[in-house]
Amino acid sequence: MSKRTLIGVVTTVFVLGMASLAFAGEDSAVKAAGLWVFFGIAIACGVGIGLAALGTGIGMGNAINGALQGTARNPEAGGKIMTTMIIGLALIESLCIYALVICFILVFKIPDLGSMHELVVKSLGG
Amino acid sequence: MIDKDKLLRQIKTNNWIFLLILGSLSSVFMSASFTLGVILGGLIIIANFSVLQHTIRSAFSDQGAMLAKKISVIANFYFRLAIMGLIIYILITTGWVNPLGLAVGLSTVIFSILNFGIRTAWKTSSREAI
Repeated sequence: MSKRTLIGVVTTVFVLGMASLAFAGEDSAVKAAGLWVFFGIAIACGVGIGLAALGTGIGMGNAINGALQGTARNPEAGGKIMTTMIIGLALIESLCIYALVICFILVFKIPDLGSMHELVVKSLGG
Repeated sequence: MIDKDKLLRQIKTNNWIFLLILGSLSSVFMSASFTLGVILGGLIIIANFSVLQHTIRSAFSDQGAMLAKKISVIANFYFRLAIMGLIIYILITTGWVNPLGLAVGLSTVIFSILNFGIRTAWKTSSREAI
């Protein structure tokens, strides 16, 4: 993680944390908690799909590596190895598809910028 | 040993059978949008599996040598993923389908492969017992 990204993350967390502490009324605190939920959803979507893609990439890479090594050692078995590899790839790929679906479901729970702005203004008592 | 073409053919047949079972079960017990999600998810994943198989088969020979151009294989692979992502995005954003139903439909190939694996393991173990 670069220094600039780290500063950005720390600042965001600090500002959101201070905002929630500063709210006097109970209603405002609830709205601030809602903002934290949206913040969490946004982070979870980004990190989640990234991790899923990373895992899928590693898994597919391993599968293809094994298949090609096997075929190189025993070219006669190439067809069978390739078939098994295709089935394995379909299984691995489905994990990333699940992550994608879950991220799409989550990301559309986040309100648009206009609604978010209204929520922030209301939570600040404006 | 199972013949490679027979194996893929069996899995493809199983895919359709599972889609039929899941679709009919959800049409009886679940809502219309859930059923639509299951059916569309199943169709997407079956098409994806067929295209994946076609891409890899046309890219490599049985001896592992590359048949197609490397760039076209990579382009096909990412094109398939992009199209599938776009379809899923459209289905979820428009709200035509229930996302949970879509996830169940997308599991059709997984169910089929797991079913095939369990049956093969069962057959092998029962043959060894004899």
